Amino acid sequence: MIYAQIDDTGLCFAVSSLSGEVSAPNLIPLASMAATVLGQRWTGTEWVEVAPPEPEPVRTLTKLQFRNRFTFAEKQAIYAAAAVSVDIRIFLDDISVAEEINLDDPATVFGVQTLEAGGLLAAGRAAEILG
Amino acid sequence: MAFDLFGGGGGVKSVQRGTVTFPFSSPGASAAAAIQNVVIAAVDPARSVVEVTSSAKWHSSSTGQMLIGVTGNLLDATSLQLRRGLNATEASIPEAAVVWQVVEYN
Repeated sequence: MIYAQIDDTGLCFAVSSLSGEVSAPNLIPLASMAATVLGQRWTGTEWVEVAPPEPEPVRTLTKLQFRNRFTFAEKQAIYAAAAVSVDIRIFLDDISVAEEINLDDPATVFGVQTLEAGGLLAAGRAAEILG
Repeated sequence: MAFDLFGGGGGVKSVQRGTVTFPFSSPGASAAAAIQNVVIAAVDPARSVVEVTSSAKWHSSSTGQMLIGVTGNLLDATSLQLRRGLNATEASIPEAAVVWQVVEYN
C-alpha cells in the first residue's frame, strides 16, 4: 500500500510504500509512488501546488557585498570626507575590522544614516543601502 | 538459503520504504525542525533494520559543502523517526529529501 503522509496543515512531507494497509488521519492513499505530491497540499479531495516560500531577505553581508551597495562616486565622497572627519574614519575602520556586516546592527544603521545626514549620500540612499 | 540475522526462522518478512522531505530551516529553528516522524505498517522493532540514505548538502562558508547526516530510529512498531544530524543555529539549511527503508526479518 502506498501513502502520502501530511502534516497538520495538509502539506505532504512523506511518500511511503508500506507492507500493509494502515488507517491514520494523516495518511492519504496513493495509486503509485508519486513523489510529485511531496510539497503539495491535500485539500481533502485533491492535491494542489503550494507556492514556494519567499526567500528570506539577506541581512548579513560580507564586507565586499556591503561596500558594493555604495556607488563609486559615493565611495569617493566618503573617503574624501574621512580625511578630515574622525567620525567617518571610525565608521570605515569599524567596517574594515568587522567579520561581517549586519544591516540591522544599530552601529551600521547609525553610520549609514549619518553619511546621508552629512550630505555624502543623496536623500533616500541610506534606506536603499540598508534595505 | 535465507539469511538468519536474529537466530529465528530467517528470511525477510517485509520491506517498507519511502521518501521524506525536511523543510528549509532558518537560523535559530527549533530542534523539532530537524525531526520527521513517519507512520509505517506494524513491524517487530527487535527484528527490523532501518536504512537511511541522504544526499542533502549544506554549504558552510567555513567548511565548504558538506553532507547532512540523517539517522533513522523505530520509536515503536508503527513509528519511524528520522533525525537530521545538522541543526545549525547560525545558518540556513536547504530543503532536503531523505530515502528510508525498514526491513523486517522473520
